[in-house]
Amino acid sequence: MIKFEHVGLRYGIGPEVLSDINFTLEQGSFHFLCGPSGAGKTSLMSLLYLGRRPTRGTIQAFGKNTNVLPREELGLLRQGIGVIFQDFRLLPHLSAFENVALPLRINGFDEKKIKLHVEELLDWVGLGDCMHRLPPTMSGGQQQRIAIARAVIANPKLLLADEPTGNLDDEIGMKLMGLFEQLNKMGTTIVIATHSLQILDRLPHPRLILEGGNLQVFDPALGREDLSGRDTPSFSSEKAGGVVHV
Amino acid sequence: MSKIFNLFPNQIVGHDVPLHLKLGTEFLVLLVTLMAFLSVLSAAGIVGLGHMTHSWTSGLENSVTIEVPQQSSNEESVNRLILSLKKIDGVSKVERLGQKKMQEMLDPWLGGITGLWEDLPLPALITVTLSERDEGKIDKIGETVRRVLPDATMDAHEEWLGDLVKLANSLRFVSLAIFCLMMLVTAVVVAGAVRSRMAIHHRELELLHIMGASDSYITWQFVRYIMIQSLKGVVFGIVLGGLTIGVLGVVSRNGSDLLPHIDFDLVEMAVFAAVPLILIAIAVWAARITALRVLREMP
Repeated sequence: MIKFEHVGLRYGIGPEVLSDINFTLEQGSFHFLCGPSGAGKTSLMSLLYLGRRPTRGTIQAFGKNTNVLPREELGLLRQGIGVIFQDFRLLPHLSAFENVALPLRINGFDEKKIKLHVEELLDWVGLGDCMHRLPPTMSGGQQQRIAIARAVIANPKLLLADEPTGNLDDEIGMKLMGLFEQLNKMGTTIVIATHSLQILDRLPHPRLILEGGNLQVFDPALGREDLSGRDTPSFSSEKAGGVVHV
Repeated sequence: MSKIFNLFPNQIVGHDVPLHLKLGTEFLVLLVTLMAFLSVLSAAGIVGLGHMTHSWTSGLENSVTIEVPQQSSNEESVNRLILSLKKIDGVSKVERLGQKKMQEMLDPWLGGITGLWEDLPLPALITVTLSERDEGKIDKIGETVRRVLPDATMDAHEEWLGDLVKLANSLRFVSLAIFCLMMLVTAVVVAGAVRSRMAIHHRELELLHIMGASDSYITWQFVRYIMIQSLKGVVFGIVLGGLTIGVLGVVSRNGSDLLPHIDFDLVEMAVFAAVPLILIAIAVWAARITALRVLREMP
């Protein structure tokens, strides 16, 4: 589904923030992305959601080489990716309803369906009563739930989440992880950047570990492996917990 | 003033990008108002110049004046010339200017002095009216005059008409150049405003981009914003322009007789009102091109 081959990224003439990244995300896989601050998690996420092009190497997304894909087609690929940002990136002038409806509007859904889906999802995340409020008038947790609802509303093939449980209490955090597991079982590929040891301990999915711009993987089932510089590793959720194929 | 410029509710704009926020591009309404006002005036100027030229030249275009010096202007030779002229194909009327009419024309210049007429060496003036202005027929009239009365001179008003046409064309060209300049200024300012708003809303644009919004989806929001701002400006500009033309019309009716009255018919007024619509088209085009260009800089 997503394949990184010798991918490097640098900003301007600075040093590479990501070096020779190789991995494949199979459809329906579930991964955590971990690493210390400044390791390049956000940069890797931005490459995953096709928000920027790598300075070297190739990224295949949904079977297409994004390096040579025209901009219009890249946009269509992005429609199949849901992103939950650490800072939510909600549009403050739009209501919770309008924020969640945004991906559906971009995908060209009709207003009746939009109303139906958005109200249902906002009810599910516990925001049914305040769907017409503006984000700045809501708590951090509520805003985060809007961001999550917005990311999953269009039923994306790939869901990327940057610290999605950061502002949520444990109970809601685990409920949210349950939603991600549910989406994953329905075939959505999921990558979650997190520092939460509680989540990492409870969920035995493979971990992409970024350190100093290099990628390593750790599969709780197999132990830690340094894959930087090796051939493309491949992850799949076909087996419980995912399997690393080197 | 800001209330006047807010006739259109923000809900009409419908925005993922918060273009309804007042962030320094409201001057566009004022600019388009000014441009629309000036374009109405320049269009009225172009049409008004046509009217003015027509009123100055009407009656002269299809006519030729023949002047017979007093020493040659005995009744017999003048009548012979008139008869010869009447036989020319395309001549609809040949008329000798009577003594009374000539006195009326000269009175303002001579200060109404009576008793001088017999002493003045006044020529005989013959006006030949053609069914339509045709150089061949004018040449034929010239030949006839030279044959019948070689002393007589013919004035086809070419010099007078030529100067007037030159003046009118120059003024029309200036009006057109000003109009084009206004279009250019509008396009440049709109492009600048769109760039500025895109820079201000970069985060929102980036988010829409990440969600897979197409360039046309995002561009449309800017195009719609500029369209509404321009429409407001054009409405105000047309109203101001219409009022100004109305006032000038009243002033011209009470002013010098030398200047023609500024009166436009309904069709002309409709054209003046339609001209500023070009401004909307230019503004929308500039907004679209600029937005697409900025978006292409994104991956």
